[in-house]
Amino acid sequence: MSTIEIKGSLFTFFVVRILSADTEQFAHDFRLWVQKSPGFLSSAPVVLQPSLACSLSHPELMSIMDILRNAGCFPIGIITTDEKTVAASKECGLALISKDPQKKAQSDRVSASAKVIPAQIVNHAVRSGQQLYAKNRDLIVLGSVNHGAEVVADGNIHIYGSLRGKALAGAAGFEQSCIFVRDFSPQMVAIAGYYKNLDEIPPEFLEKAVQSSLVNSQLSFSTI
Amino acid sequence: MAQVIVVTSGKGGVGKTTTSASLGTGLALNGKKTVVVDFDVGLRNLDLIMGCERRVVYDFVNVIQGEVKLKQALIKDRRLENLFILPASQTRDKDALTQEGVGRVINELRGEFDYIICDSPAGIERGAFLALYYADEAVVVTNPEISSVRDSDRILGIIQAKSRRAEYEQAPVKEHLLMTRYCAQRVANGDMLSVKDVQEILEIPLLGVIPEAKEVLLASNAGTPIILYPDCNAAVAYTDAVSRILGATSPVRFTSAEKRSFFNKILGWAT
Repeated sequence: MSTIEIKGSLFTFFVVRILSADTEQFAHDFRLWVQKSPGFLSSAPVVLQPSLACSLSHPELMSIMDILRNAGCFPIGIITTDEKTVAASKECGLALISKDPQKKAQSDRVSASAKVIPAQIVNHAVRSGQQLYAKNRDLIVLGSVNHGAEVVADGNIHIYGSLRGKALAGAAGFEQSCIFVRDFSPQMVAIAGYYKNLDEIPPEFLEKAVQSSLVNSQLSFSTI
Repeated sequence: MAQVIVVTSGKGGVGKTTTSASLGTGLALNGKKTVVVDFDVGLRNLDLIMGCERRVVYDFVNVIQGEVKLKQALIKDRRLENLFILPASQTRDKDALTQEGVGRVINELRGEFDYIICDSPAGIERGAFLALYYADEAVVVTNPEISSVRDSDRILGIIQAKSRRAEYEQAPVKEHLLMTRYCAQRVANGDMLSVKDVQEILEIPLLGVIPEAKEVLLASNAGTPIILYPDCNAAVAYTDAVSRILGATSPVRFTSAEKRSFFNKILGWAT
């Protein structure tokens, strides 16, 4: 058992925009700001964002951080692409935070498409003796699954024709998987290893549009 | 462009060879130069049903193994100018067929003929596989009973997955359902599956329905393809099927039970 867990999380931070590298001016202006809103930033983690025209050296950045700490807040990171400022923030131990909106949107899209594995779509009948396995994803069969055929998926299974053969969803153990069939007369259905043969399926569901799912480790059927 | 048509079924005894002989004869009657190739090496029947048993000298295996030229093994039909038979060997087994050798012979036949009918053996083993591998079209012969339908389903799966067209991702093999030994009266009584039942399972276009007819057995014994029997429903149905292969779209006959006439009913009551 690992002693750590690593998760992603989203937080909101205050961003302090720095419009000039003049640290004395900054100290003065910041003091004024704190006087107007005392306690607002106390104990708050803040992120620095120097303006594009503002390039900060190591001592300049250090003194800005001191001013902030003296006011009770915790500078944790910096948003910048300026080389000198990037180097300075590394020395000061500030995290470099990227906030290029386009880049962010793109990376969101990449991670979103990496998470969604598109379903395997079969647009013909699955015939006697044929086996299909949709690994790590859903399986959609537009034709029928005939007697003696077997369709298997780690995710859900959708069959828009008749199911006369076997359908096994959640093959890797995912118990929330379901099997949806437009015309239900299976040899066998199974979800995450729990199965029922034709003989064990209540006859009122046969030849109907049926959803099969697991309820308390029992296969249960409902018409749809 | 030559068409290679496999006549197949999975199950034995459903009428593949009868169908191959009649489709081949029918195509030849329509002026198409046609050859029927017997893939049932070791259990050859086609030459019997087509009445050329005694004229077989060389066979398909001899050609594949390069012992004779294709022309020496082809037997010309006595009745029809355009019809030829490439018989199977009775003394060898199906291991004598090689994929490469069959391909070579089929290619050579493509240069000579309009239609090449491959009469498949039963089963799903080597002989049946090689018969369907080079096909452009498949006639799946099915009887109206459940085991035949299951086997047809199985063979359709093999055609879709393992044929040359599937392997090279070309246009799929064109599939036809041919129901044989169909007895409309027994379907009406609920003893047999109907055309509709079978089509629901197999989901392929219907080429024809051949009614059960006593003449089929007589024709086999006489070595005359049933399609040549006048006044026989099975012959009419095969003729229709041939015309559909050639592109006609006639309605399918012999699928409903004959209505008993009033006169027959009275006879029925009297006896």
